[in-house]
Amino acid sequence: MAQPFLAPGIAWALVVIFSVLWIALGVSWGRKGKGDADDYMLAGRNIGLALSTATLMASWVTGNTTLLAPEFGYRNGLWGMFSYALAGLGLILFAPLALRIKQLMPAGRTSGDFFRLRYGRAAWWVFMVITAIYTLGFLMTQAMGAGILLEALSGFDYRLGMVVVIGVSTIYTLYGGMRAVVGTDFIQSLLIMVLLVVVAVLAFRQFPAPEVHRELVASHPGRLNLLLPAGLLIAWNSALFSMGEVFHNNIWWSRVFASRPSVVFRSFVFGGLAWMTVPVVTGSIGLVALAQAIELPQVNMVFPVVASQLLGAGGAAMVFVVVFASLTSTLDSLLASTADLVAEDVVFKLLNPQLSDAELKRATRLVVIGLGVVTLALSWPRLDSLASVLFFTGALVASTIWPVAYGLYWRSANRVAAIAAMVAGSVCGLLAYTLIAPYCAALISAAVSALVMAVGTQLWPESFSWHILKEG
Amino acid sequence: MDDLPQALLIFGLGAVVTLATTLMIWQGYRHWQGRDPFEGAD
Amino acid sequence: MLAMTWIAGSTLFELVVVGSLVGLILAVLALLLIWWIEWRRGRIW
Repeated sequence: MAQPFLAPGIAWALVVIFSVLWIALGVSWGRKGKGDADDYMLAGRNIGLALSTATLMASWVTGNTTLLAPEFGYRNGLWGMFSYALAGLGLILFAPLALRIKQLMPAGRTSGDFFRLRYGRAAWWVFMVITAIYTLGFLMTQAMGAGILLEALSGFDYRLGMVVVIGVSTIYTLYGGMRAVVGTDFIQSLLIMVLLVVVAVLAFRQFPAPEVHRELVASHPGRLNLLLPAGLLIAWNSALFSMGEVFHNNIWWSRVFASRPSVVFRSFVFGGLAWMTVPVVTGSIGLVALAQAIELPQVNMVFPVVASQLLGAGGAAMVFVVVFASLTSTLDSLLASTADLVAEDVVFKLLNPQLSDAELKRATRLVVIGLGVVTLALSWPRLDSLASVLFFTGALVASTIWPVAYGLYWRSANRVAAIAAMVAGSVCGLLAYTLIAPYCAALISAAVSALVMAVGTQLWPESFSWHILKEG
Repeated sequence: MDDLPQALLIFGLGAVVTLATTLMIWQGYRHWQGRDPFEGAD
Repeated sequence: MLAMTWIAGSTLFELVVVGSLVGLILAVLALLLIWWIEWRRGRIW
């Protein structure tokens, strides 16, 4: 076991300070509003531009953005950073769709509502299978990431770190609902961005960019190669993967429903653009490590190593806070919006439509706890390679891009074509994942589902009544 | 890893799919701009 | 095998590094400014 970057005492102090802060703020924000189920799930549906943008940023900056993106920069250089940053396209391209969702479904609550009302129950089941696999995988990578990172950063036991991060996120999400998630996301996103700026500015003051460039040209010119095959191969994969993630998942739909109509378009564009700078900044820190030939125990520890080597204990503490904020801000969003989806779509609409408002709110809270427990149980056995294995979910989610966008814009969008597009896209994407390479999964899936959706709709156009969505 | 033609092929295909998706969304966005969102519904 | 390279020059590299940092700083400032304006008007939530 390598030496931790941060003394356990300081790490514990930081964990306690931020845990108490998140829980206290979450609980107090949760007391605002009307206190009914809709308010708990969607924070009053009137969030302004600042909080809306920040919650998108914070949820999209995962543990990976702060730790995997520097590794991308370190391994693949400029293309690694660019391709990672292209994942911001998912948020930006969702902006026009968000606007349309807000107009068509003023009372909608989940992305499941859309699939059920637009394409029928069968399509809803396909969507639920896709989103269940993706969401469980996402929850597990964040939970395992928490355990592995806190262990590497501060010497915490894997399970202890995981329990702390999941426990804190679950507690404030449980008490404060979406208001707690969005409110804490604002502070978490500012913390992440400001501390990243500080680390990057200090790093480039010690090693100015021209010097880094000179070193790279001399010893690792491949990292600066704009025709690097490894970079070109993954470039659009993250763009299409991210579109699939954002277009279907209830994390993003719940933000649309929770925001004020006048801000949804701008918040997704601004959130996406702001987010794109993060992997480039963290990736360039990876290049500093490479140029300075800094010794790395593991390549995914580039960011903490550079920060602690250049900036000492203060740098390590800053990285710890950035990582802790990234993980909790993503986990809280996943917990809250997935609980909304399960409670609204399964417990309420599918199993028990007679549920009263108070019972629905109680059901949502129980699902938050349930999800926290399930995530803990699934992540208990440690799988270091999980994150890379889960790239197969790109094949599943990318198949939803066209059915979602087509169904929002064209009344002719055919429901059988939508189901066929998701199934065929997923199957072909998975085949490409195993037979060709993981970086083809999202691409092939999106291409096949786009063809099926467009051709099917062209041949058998439907005449959907938009008013049906209004009932959502 | 040095297989540049194959990499350019995948890169090109990815760019085409991304561009097609972007254009589709842009077209839908333009179509509904300034219209009644429920227009055409019965 | 075809092995072409196109090495990014120093100016482009600096543009990427400085540009992303400036972008991130601007994002922080813009977010705080929007928050402040909305807070004064009571339009945060």
